[in-house]
Amino acid sequence: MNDETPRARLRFANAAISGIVTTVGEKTVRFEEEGPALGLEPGEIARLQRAIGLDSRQIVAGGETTVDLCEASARRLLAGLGVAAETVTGLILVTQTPDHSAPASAIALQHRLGLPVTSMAFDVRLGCSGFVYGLALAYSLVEAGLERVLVAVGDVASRFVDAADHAVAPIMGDAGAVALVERRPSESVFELYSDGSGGRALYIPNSGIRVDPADEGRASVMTMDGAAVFNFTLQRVPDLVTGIVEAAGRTVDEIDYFVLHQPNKYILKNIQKRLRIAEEKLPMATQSVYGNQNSASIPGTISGFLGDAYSNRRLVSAFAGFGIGLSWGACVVETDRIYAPPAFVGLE
Amino acid sequence: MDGYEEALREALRRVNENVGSPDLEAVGPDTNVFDQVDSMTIVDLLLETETLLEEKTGAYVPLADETIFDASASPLRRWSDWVAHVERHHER
Repeated sequence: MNDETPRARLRFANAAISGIVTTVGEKTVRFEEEGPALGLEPGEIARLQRAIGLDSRQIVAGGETTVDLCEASARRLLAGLGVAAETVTGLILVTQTPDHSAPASAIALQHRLGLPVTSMAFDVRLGCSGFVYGLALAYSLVEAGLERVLVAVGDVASRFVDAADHAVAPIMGDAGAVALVERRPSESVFELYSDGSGGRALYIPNSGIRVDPADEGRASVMTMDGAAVFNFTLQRVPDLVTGIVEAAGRTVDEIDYFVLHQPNKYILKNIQKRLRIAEEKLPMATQSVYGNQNSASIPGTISGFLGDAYSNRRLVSAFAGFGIGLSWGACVVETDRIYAPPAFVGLE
Repeated sequence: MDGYEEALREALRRVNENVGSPDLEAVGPDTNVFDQVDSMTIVDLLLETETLLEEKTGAYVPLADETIFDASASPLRRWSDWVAHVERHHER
């Protein structure tokens, strides 16, 4: 995009991630077993496995919610860092699957974690762009004066899909991830975008208070226009990634990891090849193991595959999230040996 | 590279084994692949084509761009356009 266009570009100098923990749903669902139940022929199963990278995913086993998964992650994170909940004064929960329409689920999570009443807590209703957006908000709060802010992201997406929709149901995974952002010298830059004209590419009809005649009789489950989403990704994401690297004043070679939202392997490989990013710098396996984790896919990828690197090294990372809204965003951040254990399976 | 079209026809043949469309069994310059298949099949065709061409040329070249799924501009709306699209991407 023309750089003279007014844009949502944020630069920070005093905020950084101290740790990331992800908790995934306890139940493993293997696509080979699930495919026949969806009415898929063996050839179609093989096709989806190859194109999307479907192998297995993790979903909740019972009535666990996003708040439950995020609470587990937050407790593990605070314990791992030796941080008392009473010292955290900001909590952002990014989710499309809150416990209730009202009040905000972040406030319930604030209470469950024992954050002080002098803390701020609020929900953000975003999906796959949500971790980058949530991180930008947390960095803003820390830069403005808060010492510690938790960013909690995730969805129990398995519960907002039509189990018979073989385009959507077998790709969704459930996860709740939490990052702690603290005040210390560290340079970062964020760029955030939105385009509501693409709202119907991914949406849940009859899920709010607007009555749309076009949605009469439709179930309140996620619907996806695969072609439109694919097009959006290839139109926007390569420029998003090259743009943020340029905004950070860096080259692709200077970025240690590109951790992107994980929709499917084909799109990630396409982006990796088009931008000439070394394969080992752009992980692509999250979808195959955990499913599409929506806003938790970036921290989920770190927890699932990059924990050692993030725990033991000083890194410069580019994160990029893109999807429902349409909404997309990226950042370049520095981390220095953060607390990043492997992903936890289940609440216990 | 000579033989691009041969590879593309082979890729389509393999994909059509799952689709079973008689209209895709013999393609001509004006064959419209886009309207005959769903989006997942297009992704499958892209994968199959990229893999075959990588085997033949030694180079992996991504073929998907923002036109592939465009209802009016997709090169898959006309077989000869698809061949030209692939040649263009490979010869960059």
